[in-house]
Amino acid sequence: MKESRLAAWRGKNVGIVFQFFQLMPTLSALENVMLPMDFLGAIPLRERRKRALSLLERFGIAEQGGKLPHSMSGGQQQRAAIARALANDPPLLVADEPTGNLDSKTSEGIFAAFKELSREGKTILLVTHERSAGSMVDRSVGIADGLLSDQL
Amino acid sequence: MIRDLRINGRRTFLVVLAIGIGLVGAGAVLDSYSILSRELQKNYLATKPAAASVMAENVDESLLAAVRAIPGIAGAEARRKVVGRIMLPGGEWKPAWYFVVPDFDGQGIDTFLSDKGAWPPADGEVLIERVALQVLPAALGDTVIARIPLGGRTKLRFSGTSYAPGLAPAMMERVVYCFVTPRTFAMMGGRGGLDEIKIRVSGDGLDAAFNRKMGYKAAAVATSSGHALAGVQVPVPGRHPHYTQMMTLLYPLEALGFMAFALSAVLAANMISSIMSRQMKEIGIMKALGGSRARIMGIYYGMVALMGAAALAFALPLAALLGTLFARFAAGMLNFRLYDESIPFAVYAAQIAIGMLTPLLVSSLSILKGTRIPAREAFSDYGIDQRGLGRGALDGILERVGGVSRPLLISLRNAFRKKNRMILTMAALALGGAVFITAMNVNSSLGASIESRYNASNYDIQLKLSKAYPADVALAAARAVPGLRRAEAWGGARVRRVGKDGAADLDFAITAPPYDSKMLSSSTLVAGRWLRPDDTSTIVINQRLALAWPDVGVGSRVSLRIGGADSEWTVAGIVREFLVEPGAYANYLYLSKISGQEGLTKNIVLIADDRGKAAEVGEKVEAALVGVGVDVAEFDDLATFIEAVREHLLVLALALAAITLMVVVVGGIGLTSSMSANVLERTREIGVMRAIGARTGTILGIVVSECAIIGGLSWAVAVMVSWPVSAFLTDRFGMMFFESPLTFAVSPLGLIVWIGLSVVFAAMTGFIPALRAAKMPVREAIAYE
Repeated sequence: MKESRLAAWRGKNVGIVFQFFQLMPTLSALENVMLPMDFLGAIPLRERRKRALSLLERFGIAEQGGKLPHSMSGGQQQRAAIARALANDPPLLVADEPTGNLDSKTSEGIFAAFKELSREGKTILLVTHERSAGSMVDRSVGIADGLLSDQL
Repeated sequence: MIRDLRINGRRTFLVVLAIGIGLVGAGAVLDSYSILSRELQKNYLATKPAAASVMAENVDESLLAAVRAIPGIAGAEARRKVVGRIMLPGGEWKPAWYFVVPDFDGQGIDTFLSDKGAWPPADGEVLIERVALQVLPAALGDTVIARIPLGGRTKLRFSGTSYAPGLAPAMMERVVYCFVTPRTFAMMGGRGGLDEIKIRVSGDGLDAAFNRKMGYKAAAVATSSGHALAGVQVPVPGRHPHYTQMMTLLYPLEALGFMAFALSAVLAANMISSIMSRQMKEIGIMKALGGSRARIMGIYYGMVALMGAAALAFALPLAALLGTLFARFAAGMLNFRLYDESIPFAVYAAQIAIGMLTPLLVSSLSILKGTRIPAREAFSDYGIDQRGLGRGALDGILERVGGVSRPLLISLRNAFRKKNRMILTMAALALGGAVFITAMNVNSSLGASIESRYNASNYDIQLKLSKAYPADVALAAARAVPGLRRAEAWGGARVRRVGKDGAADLDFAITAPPYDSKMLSSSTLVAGRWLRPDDTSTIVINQRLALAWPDVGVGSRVSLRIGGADSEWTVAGIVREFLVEPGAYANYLYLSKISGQEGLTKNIVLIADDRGKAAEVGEKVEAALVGVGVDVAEFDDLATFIEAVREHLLVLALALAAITLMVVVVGGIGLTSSMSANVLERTREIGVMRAIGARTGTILGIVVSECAIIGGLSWAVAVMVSWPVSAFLTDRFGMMFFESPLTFAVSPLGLIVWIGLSVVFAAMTGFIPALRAAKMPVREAIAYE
């Protein structure tokens, strides 16, 4: 597939959560969540703000919606990033070390959020170094030196 | 450091190019200026300029001997200048000045040289000044037809060209300079002897007061020996009469050349700042390895100095080449020879100093700032650069912007994200735009001024008669010619102002239209009022005359010598006229009465039914006048005159266009590098947008809009800056070149073209790096450093 079509496919089917949050620095948290909806155009224009607000509310950061990323804490930023990943309601969520940059207490909250999403039927593909995560997931695969090593 | 410059070859090349082009602009101006000012002076002094000229009747050998005998006078020669006409058989009449020279080989004052062909001319032959051939396209050996007032048509052989650098360039004056012997002059019907004594004083001749004193002593000798005196002229000593004109030719180019240089300095600052922002890791590593800040600064200053030296390496010879070419061109325009095209060492030294110091100076801020960063911070750069908007008032406004899509919001806010770079980019683009728009405005003002001059004159043709003729006879003959809407008979006189010491100075024309004339508009009054029917000893002077008389204003009384008698006049008003000689207006009835020319006329002024056919109708009127015995000395056709001026200014327009082109190139380079730096820095951000579903088109849209926003804003700044600059330049330019301010006109084309260029160009420069970033696989883009 071409890069452009791949992008569109991702927008619809995959939500991505990065280790360093990767929020757009010039957009507020709310605007960041609305951005993928603007890109894909699947959600009607009028509903985008309402949907973005409800996603932020779900992760407990609705009050931070008007803030720019640099004035939010790491945990708040990662919650906003998860909200953004869910913007177009994709069936698959890919998370690359989502807690690698957070303290353990905040990490727990993030894992809890993933767990809840999984219960709602979302498929979540998570890459992490945190051994404790193993107890929360349905299936885990180890990778060592680039090779699938074993099922944990 | 050298390796770093080489690895980033393209970026280094752009910085060097930007600095270099600016240096070429400034250097070429400096080089041509140094050559021209030296050579113009050399040419002028080589003509052995007269310290003063005494206008007196029938100058003969005994008078010359008496003048030479005055202590303090080193030499005296007689000449005569007669205003007439010349044409090629079957061609059109051109205005001509006939210089009657008794001894071609023995000239010692206000000399002119042989150029090609015969020297001296034989009787029945004429020498023509070399650049006057641009006015009269004759070839050596051609027969030309010469006419002077009250003389018939005389066929003369064009036997050689002369070179007279002391005279105003013929093509600028649109006059054919002809040199003839006294016997040829007599063959042409010339009456009377020589009428001008040119004197040279002892010493260097640079003391204006002494020159003046000697001039008046010579005049006193002429008067006491019974030669009627018309006046004494004392030119500014040691200065070519067209020195100012040359400076004017250089003036807009100088201004624009230095603006181009400023532009390149801003660009260099901008590019170096972007280089520094990408050197953070390197600086951190060097600091971690124990490099002191001073040491690291030394490395970057060394890098900038190296780029300055590289720019100089190509700018210095290129500037010298362009400067010399321009000097040749300007010398050609002003009709003087470049005996020596060398550029003084000091001028090279100045360019080297500017070339080395400017880049160091403009890069200081970013080098100081960049090397201040602590090692820890230099390494802690990860993820998307989280510096979003700042805390200023503008940031507050930007943060509150709503009602637009998020991609457009990103464009808008990103444009203002790195304010220093944004300001530099804007400044560079705005400066470029200001130069461009200024050049266009000056050009447009020139056009508008010529147009307004054409429209302010309500007549098409002016026939200057050889002497005063009965007005009713001349008018009746003229009015019988078909195709004429209106004809008027004007009076006029050549007059001189008489000073307190009784000496007459500058010679100028008073034009005296009838009180009900429809052919002069008073719309160009700048002070006082226009003539009233009952005005008697009242004149209205034009701005050029007002400039020559700094002590005179509205209400001043001046003493004028008209036909040998002095009379007192009051200045009632000042009119602004463009492209005219210094002159004044008076009422016909009064002027003709005091000059003893009641019922007589010296000018027939015409309006044709069809302006396009004015010249044709004018010629028929001249034939009709000749038929009734009225001799026409000069034929002034306004349309031809305007056309000549327009052609003449074309050269200037081309020089302005060249500068403009340079600015567009420098601006383009700067913009490209600045925009690509902007986009490169955000490669990771673009990768993230791709990851969350942005299509290539969307990303291109975001980047291109951001660039277009910067382009559009810079245009607004450019317009604001260029307005006062071009108004000032236009004014100075008009005053120096035409001794009258030009009509300021804004060039809509300049404004439109520049907004097109800046927005489209800005968008294009963002497009290519954005496309490259968008095409990069997401994984790579996110990992990009």
